[in-house]
Amino acid sequence: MKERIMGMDLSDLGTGVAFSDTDRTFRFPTVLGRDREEEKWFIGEDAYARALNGKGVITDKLLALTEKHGTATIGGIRYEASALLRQFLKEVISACIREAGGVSPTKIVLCIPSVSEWAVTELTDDLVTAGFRKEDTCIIERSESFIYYVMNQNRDVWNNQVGMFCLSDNSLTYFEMNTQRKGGKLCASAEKINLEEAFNLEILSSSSGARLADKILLSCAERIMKKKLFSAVMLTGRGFDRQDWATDFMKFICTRRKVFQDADLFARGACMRGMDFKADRSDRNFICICEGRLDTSVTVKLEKEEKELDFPIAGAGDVWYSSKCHICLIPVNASEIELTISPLDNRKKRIVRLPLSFLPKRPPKTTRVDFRARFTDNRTMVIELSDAGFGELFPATDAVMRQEVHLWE
Amino acid sequence: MGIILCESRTASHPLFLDELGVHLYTFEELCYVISEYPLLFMDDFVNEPLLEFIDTELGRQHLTDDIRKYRNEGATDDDTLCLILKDCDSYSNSEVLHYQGKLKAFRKLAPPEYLKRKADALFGLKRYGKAVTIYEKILAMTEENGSDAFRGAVYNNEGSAYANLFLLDHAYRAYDKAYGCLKDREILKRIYFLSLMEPILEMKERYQSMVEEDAGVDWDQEFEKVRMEVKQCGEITETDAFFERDPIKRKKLITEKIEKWKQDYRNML
Repeated sequence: MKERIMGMDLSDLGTGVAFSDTDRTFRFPTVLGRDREEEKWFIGEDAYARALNGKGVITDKLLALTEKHGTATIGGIRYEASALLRQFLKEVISACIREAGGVSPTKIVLCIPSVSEWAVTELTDDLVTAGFRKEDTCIIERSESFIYYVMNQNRDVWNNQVGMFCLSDNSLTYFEMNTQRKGGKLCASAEKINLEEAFNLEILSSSSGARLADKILLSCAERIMKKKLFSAVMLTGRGFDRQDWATDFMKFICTRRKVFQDADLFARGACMRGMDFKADRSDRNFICICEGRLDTSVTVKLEKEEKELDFPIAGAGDVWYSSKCHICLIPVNASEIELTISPLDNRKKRIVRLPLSFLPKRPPKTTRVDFRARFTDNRTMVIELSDAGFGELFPATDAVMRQEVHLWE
Repeated sequence: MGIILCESRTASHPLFLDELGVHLYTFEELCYVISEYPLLFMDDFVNEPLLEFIDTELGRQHLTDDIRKYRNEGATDDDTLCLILKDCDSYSNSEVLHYQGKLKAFRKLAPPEYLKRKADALFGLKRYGKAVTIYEKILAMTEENGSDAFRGAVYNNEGSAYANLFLLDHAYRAYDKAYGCLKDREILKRIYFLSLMEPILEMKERYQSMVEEDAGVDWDQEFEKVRMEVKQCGEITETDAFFERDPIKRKKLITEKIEKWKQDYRNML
């Protein structure tokens, strides 16, 4: 039987859902409401309606509230924000499954505006509570969803740069993606910029406001896209549900390139990411580089059978928040550990040396070093080296060294 | 060499080495003791419990399969030890060859000399009790035809082992025999020091006259100097510091220290 994948885009403003086996998508304002009398939950427009009728109480900005470890009091009960977010996700998932034919998806990819270790842990737990196995869940950032969406289009869409404007209430974000071959591998990398020119979508209801909005977008597009070759431009977000207000902007971006509008782009991109995830082809035939992923490979120089080898600590395209490495090393007549930092641009390759002078003096081959590496973001690696001793022959001491290694110089 | 990736497997049931008084948890530790103390592990070390440990606890079935195969084809204990070292990334081929050479050289020694080297190795590891047992065995072996120089050296080392075990009367008797064989004034000095440490041990009259002749004063000064140095050594000052702590901490520290000394002494036996 064909597996069903669910892709979900979650932000404080809205939540979109797409499935792998249907073109039908679902959109809700990210709002959770509770019945005033009993513990019955509602989401999106339904929650708004009940709040307007005085039958329910709502809470919104669930992601931000959870990140701040906030609370909300509904119907006299104080709820942790994380519990409300969990409830919201549970309600969204069950509502979408119900509406899309009742077949439960086996895997889910959740896309959020920005990833952190905290967000990934919290949201993975929420999805597990909603009935998914941990290994069937994946949390990604919007740039990654954008990359997968674009890379699933025909090659002529992405053979040059691809730009994307995401316009929502009080937020205007520009994404840019390009592909290039590095060492025989196709790399798709995307960056995003939160533009300061964001405006409230309410201004589009008046003709003067619409003209101003059009002017703002046009100047942004001219500034950002000038002197670059784009094969396509994407538009997403509630602001582009209609484009009749953005005449000049549309005229500019439609010149010599394809323009697509998809309000559910992030949800669909997440779903496409899920198709690869399902097939256990984490990166298909390209390396994905974006905010949630590393653009640099890190290796440690080791010796095996009297030959030098580069042992991988993390690879370009790896998800940084789950990239961790714990190995045990024995220095044999070596005074330092040598790391090679290899960005995609091979000319920027460099060596970082970690001195081992902090270790106690012992006979050769009798010191084990615990090597732990983790990433605090996509450009910072934290290395911790500690003395693991050598069994009962040379007990471990508390000698330890921590070093931050900046992947970008 | 450079940085070696360690085997991740740690034994949940470690292998206890009586010779060293330690448990081994990893393959690297096993290889280290084999290479560092060849004399202690050349005989009777390669046996079924060791292979079982390598196989099930260290997860190196490929190695035990090879060992069993080669032993069936006639490989010796020495070949097996080299095979084990070869399987460890910490040891280069040249190091294994060097080790093999060392084993060959030891095997060429006459049995009493081989045993003396082994006993001396144990002495070096402060396993004095085990060293004494082997020294006794050597003396029995060489009673008929051993040279005075060799037997004297064995008696001397046995005396030192006894002295480290605080069995001063035994030490005195061994040094006495050693002096009889070697007529070495260093041994006489040790006998004199023993008599200073344990006045109950009376020096033989002939020794007293020899000491009085010229060296007595110098040796007294040397003994006093060593005694003062010992009083100021790190462990003594550390122990003295315990008595400046509050009673609860002091009791805890003293208990720990005594436990350590007891353990050290048990290891010496």
